[in-house]
Amino acid sequence: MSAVTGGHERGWWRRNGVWLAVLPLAIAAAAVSWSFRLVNLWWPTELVHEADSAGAGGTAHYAGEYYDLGFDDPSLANTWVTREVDVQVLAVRPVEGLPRSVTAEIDSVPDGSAAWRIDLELAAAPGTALGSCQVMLVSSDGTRYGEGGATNDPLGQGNPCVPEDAPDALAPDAGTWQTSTVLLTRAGDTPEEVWFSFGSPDYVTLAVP
Amino acid sequence: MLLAPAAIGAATWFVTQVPQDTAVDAPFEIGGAVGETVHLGYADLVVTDVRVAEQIAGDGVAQAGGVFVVVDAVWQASDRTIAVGGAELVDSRERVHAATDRSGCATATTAVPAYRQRISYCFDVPPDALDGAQLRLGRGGDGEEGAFQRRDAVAVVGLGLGLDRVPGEEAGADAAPIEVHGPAPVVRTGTDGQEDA
Repeated sequence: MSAVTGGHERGWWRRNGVWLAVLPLAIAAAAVSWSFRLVNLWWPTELVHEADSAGAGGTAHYAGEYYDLGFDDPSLANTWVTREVDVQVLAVRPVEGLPRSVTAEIDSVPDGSAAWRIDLELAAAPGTALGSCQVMLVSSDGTRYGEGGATNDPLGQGNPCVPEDAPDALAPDAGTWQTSTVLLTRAGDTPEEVWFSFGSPDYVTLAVP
Repeated sequence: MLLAPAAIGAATWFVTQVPQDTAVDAPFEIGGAVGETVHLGYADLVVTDVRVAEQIAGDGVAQAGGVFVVVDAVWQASDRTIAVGGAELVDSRERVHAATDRSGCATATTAVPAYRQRISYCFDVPPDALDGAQLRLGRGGDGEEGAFQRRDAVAVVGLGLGLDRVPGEEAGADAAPIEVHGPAPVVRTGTDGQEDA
């Protein structure tokens, strides 16, 4: 079809020019209205924000917000708190035996798996909350091992950010301390990075030394 | 000027004609059988055994309202930790039976890439549900229509059951209570193909 104006036919593009101009704006508006899914469903549930990275032997600075319920410090109850921790990977090496724990589900390395010990040096202001700490090994193809921290640890090691004899999950008064944790990977898979996080969405990456 | 409203109307009509559950947001079903590895992309699943009895024994002994179907399965995630839950047993009449947590049976677990995770799903179903029963499960939780459902692929595993497996019938009934255990890593693989924790 074509419209006739003043004896001249107007082409389809001219007749719909206004709507064609509006179309990109409509698409943009639709994308913005859809983006609540990104903010509410994807961002808080995935490790998507690399806060910092460090090469082999370097120190990465983790900074991420969390909603404090005041269990450790009642004065922080129901507030957003920025948690800052410096982390350095001292060593990542394969091990044969597994750490002993009364809460362990297994006491030997499963068939088809390998065990790796990760030694870390951490630094944070004394009293910094270290709950929900996660230390992960990432292989060259992006496979993540150890996601979920102590919650999904069949070795029953507890929080990988705090020393074994620590009375609570808070940064010690010394301000700098070392920890070790063991993670399982598929046999034959060599980790290339250590990821360090306290839950989605923030994490830092450190190259394996 | 009529073109845009006509296009919108046609698109709206088309969407309303398409079945929402079976076409628009239906998962990708990947079939399998007992003993086969089902590759779901995000994980591999193997149903290692299917047992039928009137009782299960885990945290105490539980008596079935109908019969218990216990499905032993092993998960291994591909590249990241995932939650797998919402297992359903679908019978030949399309009735959907949710897994039960009675007697220590688990209804969900976590699959990781580092090792294989064993779980026993327990279903208390009417005896006539055994015939042609299939297990449906994938990542996500609370069943196929549940919240946080992210089943881009769903395993549909034929359990190979028939009415001859109903306890009390002559053939195939397991008289003793079925022992069930909570989810745990598979440490050793037995030479007979069964998984030992």
